[in-house]
Amino acid sequence: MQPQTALSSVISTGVIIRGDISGSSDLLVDGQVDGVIHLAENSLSVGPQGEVKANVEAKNIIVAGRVEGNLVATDRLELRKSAVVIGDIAGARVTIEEGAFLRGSIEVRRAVVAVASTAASGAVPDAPAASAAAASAPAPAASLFGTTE
Amino acid sequence: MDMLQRLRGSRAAAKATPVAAVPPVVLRHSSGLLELTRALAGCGSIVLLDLGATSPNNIAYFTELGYKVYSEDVLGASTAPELRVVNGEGNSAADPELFLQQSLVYSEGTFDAVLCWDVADFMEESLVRPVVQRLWASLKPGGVLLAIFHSREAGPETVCGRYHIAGDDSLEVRPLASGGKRPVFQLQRSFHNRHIENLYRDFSSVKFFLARDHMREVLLVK
Repeated sequence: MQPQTALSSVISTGVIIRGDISGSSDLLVDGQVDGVIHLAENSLSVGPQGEVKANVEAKNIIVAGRVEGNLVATDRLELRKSAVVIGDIAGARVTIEEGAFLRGSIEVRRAVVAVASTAASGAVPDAPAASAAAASAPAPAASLFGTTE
Repeated sequence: MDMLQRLRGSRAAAKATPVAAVPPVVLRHSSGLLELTRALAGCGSIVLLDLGATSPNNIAYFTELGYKVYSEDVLGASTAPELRVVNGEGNSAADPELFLQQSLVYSEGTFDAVLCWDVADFMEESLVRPVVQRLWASLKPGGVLLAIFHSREAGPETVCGRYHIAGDDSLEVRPLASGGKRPVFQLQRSFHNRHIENLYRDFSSVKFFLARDHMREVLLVK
């Protein structure tokens, strides 16, 4: 499974959007969003510079920036090393990289639990080398942070 | 540009950053953890709060057991600049009221178990007692709290670690390295057993487990 397909929409650094967002394409947030995000069949990525204050529902959610709100992914949810999430998270497959900051509950919504970590793959936590290794790892996203499949 | 390439690109700069020397990962036996898991076994739907640095291992371990898991990195949150105030002695300190407005905001009796790890050893003095009181309130009657304390033999160079559950009775302690975004916390004090009993005096029972690695584990029951 590849959570990211074609990039369709980007909210770039410096752009602020207040309101509800829904649609049928993937979305990258590097700017700020304040509202609600609903992408039933698509993916949301919050880039390292992204700031989201919203409840989010999407098929796949990847967070490398800051989110205040609840995150619900019907498939995959990833919190990367630089992620700061204040809110509850839920997903069928949850991946949290060491170094991510989370204040909230975690719910895995399928019988098969697949929480992966860099620790599981032997990477050194919190060290720059860990992120470099992750950055140079081949796509797809599933291989970046652990072994969820 | 592909979405993931953008994310990876930001990490490319990290390659050039020299890697800081990281203390070794330690695997240690934990009688306290074993007692805690035994206490929770067969208790039905368990709600657990992990106060350490976010641990994917712990989340996986407990969600596989069917627990509902909350994660809150209280040490990381305690360093927020907006919490700093000047206390009566003219020193900068974290304000406990401000801290508890943002952190550990749970209804009374929410949790069956709290994993406190060695947070109290590294937390600012002004926050320790208020945090313990808040944790007591957040526990259900009969709920358990596991805390770890470094003994007097542990020096100021003691490393603040991330506690990963490696088994029912074993913990992997991974040092929080300075290369990350987190500050490296310093040991603030060394609690004597009497201090620990006083700090957790609201709890109905306290059980000490002495380890060989200059650490004491304490299991407390509300």
